[in-house]
Order: sequence, then C-alpha cells, then structure tokens
Amino acid sequence: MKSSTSSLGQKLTLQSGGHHRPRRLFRDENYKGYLFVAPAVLLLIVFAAYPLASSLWLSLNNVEVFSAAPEFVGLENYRALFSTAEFWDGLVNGLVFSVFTVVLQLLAGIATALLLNNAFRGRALVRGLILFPFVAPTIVAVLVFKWILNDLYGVANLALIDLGVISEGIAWLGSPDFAMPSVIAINVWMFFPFITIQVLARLQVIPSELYEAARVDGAGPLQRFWYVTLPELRSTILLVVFIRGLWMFNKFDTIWLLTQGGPVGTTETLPILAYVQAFQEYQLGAGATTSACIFMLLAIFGFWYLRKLQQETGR
Amino acid sequence: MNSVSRILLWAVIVLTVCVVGFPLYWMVISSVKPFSDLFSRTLSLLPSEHFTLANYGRLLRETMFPQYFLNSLIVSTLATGGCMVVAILAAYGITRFRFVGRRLIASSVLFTYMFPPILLSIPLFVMLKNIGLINSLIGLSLAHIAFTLPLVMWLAIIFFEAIPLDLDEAAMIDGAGRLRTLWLVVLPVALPGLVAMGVFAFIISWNDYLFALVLIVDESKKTLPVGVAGFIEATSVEWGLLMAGGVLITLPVLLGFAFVQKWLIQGLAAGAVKG
Repeated sequence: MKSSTSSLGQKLTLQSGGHHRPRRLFRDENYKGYLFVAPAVLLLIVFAAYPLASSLWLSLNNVEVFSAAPEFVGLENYRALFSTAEFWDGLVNGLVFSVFTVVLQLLAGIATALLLNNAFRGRALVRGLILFPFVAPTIVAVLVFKWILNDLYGVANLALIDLGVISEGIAWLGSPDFAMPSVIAINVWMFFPFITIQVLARLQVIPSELYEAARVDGAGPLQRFWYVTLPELRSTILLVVFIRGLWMFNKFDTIWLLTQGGPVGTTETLPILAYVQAFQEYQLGAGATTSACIFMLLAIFGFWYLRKLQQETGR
Repeated sequence: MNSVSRILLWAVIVLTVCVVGFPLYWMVISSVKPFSDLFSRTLSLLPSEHFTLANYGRLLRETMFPQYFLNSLIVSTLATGGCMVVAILAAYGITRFRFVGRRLIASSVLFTYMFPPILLSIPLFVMLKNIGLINSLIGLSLAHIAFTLPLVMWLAIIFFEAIPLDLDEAAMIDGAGRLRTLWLVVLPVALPGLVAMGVFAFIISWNDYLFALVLIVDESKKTLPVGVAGFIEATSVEWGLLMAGGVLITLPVLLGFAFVQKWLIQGLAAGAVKG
C-alpha cells in the first residue's frame, strides 16, 4: 500500500506500470477484457479520435459550411492563419489568461484547503459553500457577474462609488483595460474549488507524525508548512496545475458568454477565434486550422510536462 | 490555539464565505426584487422590502424557460446514465483484466484531456449533420457522453483499483460470472465513488454550453445554458428574469450536490488514501 499517492497521482502510476496487476486466477479469460472496454473505446473513437483526425484533415482543406465539396489546399490555411494578427494576439491573450487564472486558482485553492483543514464550528457548511462556484452552472455564474458588474446598476460600481473610489460606474467587461482582469477574476472564482478538493484530500492523509516530529524539532507554523506540507502536496499541485492549465487554455464558454472576445479583441483567445471563424464566418477549414494549432500546442506542452513529471518521480 | 490566531482564522473564514457566497446571495435577492428596486442607483445590500415572485411567474409563463429546462433534463439524464454504464464497464475491464492495449486505453483517457472542445465541435457538427442527428437531443447526449467519459472513467479506475481483488476472487470461486461479480461485489463497495461520478457527469452535461450551442439550432430544442444566454442578447436586458432563471438552473444541481456532498468529498479522499 502506498499511502503517499494522491488521487491524481494514482492516475500516473497506473499509466506507468500499475501496482495492481490482475492476478493469475483470471489470466485464461483476459480476452473478455476487450468486451468490457469496447463501448468506451467505440465512443472515444467516434466522438474523439475521429473528430480529431477529421479536424486535422479539415485544416488542410477549404471548407465552407454551405459548400458541398471541400477543396484540398495543403498548408495554405496555416500560412494564412500565421499571417494574421488575430492568431498571435489570440495566442498571447490565451497565455495571459491561462497563466494568471491557474496561478491565482492554485493560491486560492491551497489557501482554502488549509483553512478547511482546521477544525472549527460550521466547517462542513463552509466546505459545502466553497464548492458552490464549482457546481454552479457556467451560465449562472456569468449572469450573476454580468449583473454585479453592470455599469449603471451593478452593485460593484454602486459600492465603489459609495466608498469614493470611483466617481462613475465602470463597464468592467466592456472596457479594453478592465475586461481581461475581470474575466480572469471570474474564472478564478469559478474554478478554484476543484483545487481545494484535491489539495484538501491530500492534506488529510499527511501522517500527523510528520508534524509532531517537526514540532519536536522546534519548527513554527510557517516552517511546518514549508518543510512538511508543501513537499507532501507537491505531486498533487503539479498534476492539478497540468490539468487546470490545459482546461483554461481550452476555455471557451465563460469567455464567450462574458465578452465574446471583446472589446476590440482584448479577451479573444484561440478557442474564441476558432469559433468565430467556423460558426460565424462559416469558414470550417479556417476554424479547424486554429483549433488544430491549439491542439498541437497543448500536445507539445502536455508531453513535455508529463515527461518532466515522470523524470521527477524517478522513473 | 490561542485567541489571536482564533480571531485571524475567523476573519479569513468570514472573508472567504463572503467572496464565495456573495454572488449566490445577490442572485437570490435580485430574483425577488421588483423592477423599480433592481434599477435603482442607490446602494442597498439588504433584501428589498418589496418582496415579489413576479420575475419567476413571468419567466415560467412568458418565456421558453420551461421548455429549455425539460430539454436540459432529458439530455443530462441520458448523458449521465450512458456515461456511467460505459465508464463502469471500461474501468472494470481495465482494472480486472490484463490484455494488450490495456495501458494504452488508460493513458489515452488522459490524452483526451488535451483535446480542445472547440476542436471536437467542428467535426462533430459536420458528422451529426451528415447522419441527421444535428438539432437532436439524442445527438447532443451522445456528444456529452463522449465528453464526460474521460473524467468519469478515470475516477472509476481509481475507485475500482482501490477495491481488493480478493473480493472478486471470492465471488468468482463461488461461481459468479464477471457481470455478476461486478454487479454484486464491486459496485456496492464503490457506491460512494459512483454517486460522485454520476454527479460529476450530470453537472458537466447540465453546464455544457459549447456543444449545445453548435449542435442545436431550433429554439424548441435548446438547452438551458444556450436558451437563457439568448435572453441577454434580446433587446432589453431584464435582470430580474435572468436572476430568477439563474436560481432555477442552479437548484437541481445544488439539490443533487447537497445530497451527495459527503460522499463526493469522501469519495475523492478515499481515492487518495487507498492505492
């Protein structure tokens, strides 16, 4: 039994060998395993592998929604895409959005997990409440924040005016200066509980002897956090950063619903650009090219990151 | 703990609760405010004295909201059920058998995390259009099953790995077949985790905006996120209606979540202890 693997860490151990080898008793009927995984594999082929291949193929063609025959154009779509400012702006916006949301989510997630790891009256209630942003439907969070941030009647502006910070309401989501920070803040609010759950689960299995030993050695609370808690959390944090990073870079719905990539493209990330190309300009080939670029960027990042991770865990 | 750090702890707790809870609170009290109070420019953080359910009444009678709600319920139920069956079978196969390609399948689950949903949406649109499943709630459910499968299957693998094979062996020595062993031995032990999985699948499907946006065209087939988002784009924004809609969209998720919260957290924690 390895008690030091987190729920996320376990995914990797399975992937890289697996501790639970099915035993000899079952060996004769291993072919049956195929029957059990068949539906999942079939679904993933039809709804993930095929669309992936199809997207890569579409990116080599000139396809419009309403035209019958795709026309093979080779790498022309990529050449055209790389020569537009939208692509490079989208890439930069996406990186800014992902890095800031992931780092802030991580800080908020660890802080709230540490908080909930304390015993206090009403902890279960607070824990349930903290999970609310995570389970609240995206559309709901978006509606509420649009209302709170409304330039004329939003409570945020009214409060800031009352406090004398500003003299008139700011259109938070409609101003080029404030749109990106607002979108980042809202996304941090929505997604940090995922990290809270994971870190809290990991915190609760840190052997208390470690803390006792540190205390005997005269370590204060900060030192205990730095030398005991953080190293124990390390593998969980690394995996959570990976997963959240991928998802934030892919994020479409929150940004689209909040700003549609505006104002003047300041929140237009690559997924937004791909959607606009494919479903508003009806250029499926161009949209597929942009999303293929997102995929390739993430695949390169993913393999690099996972390789680093495996080297670190000493494999 | 001394009193200074007690006070500090409570200050942080109160701050956290406010930051997390305020939008929820604001949505609820805005939904029961009359028009005149919503569009007032004086700051008031307390519930309005003029309590009204008019926003809810209009939402349910004068908009397509009930239809959207029904559509969402159908899609999410189908997607959750389908996803659970497929994920449970696959996780059992992967943790209980040794066959060529087993590790490939397990790792490809992680790999699909890198698939941008937008990348899948374009070919899915073309594919479902070609086979006549565009604009169909079943087509959308299928897309949701595929979309939720990686996460749910990954959780199922973790839960099933934590269940000792001795249990399976005992059942099989007693003559139970594979499906009976899964049904009578593995599933009951994994129940808390399975409930958590189901809630996850339901929430992901209930929340989905992109696939519903791309794959559904008809007003009468729209699910809640897309349908309600359309209210914002309508000429005059009626925040009272929107907040009432927000409360009603959140309610099923919150109820399901409150019901399984303990299992949900324990399930995640259990996955972390055993292994």
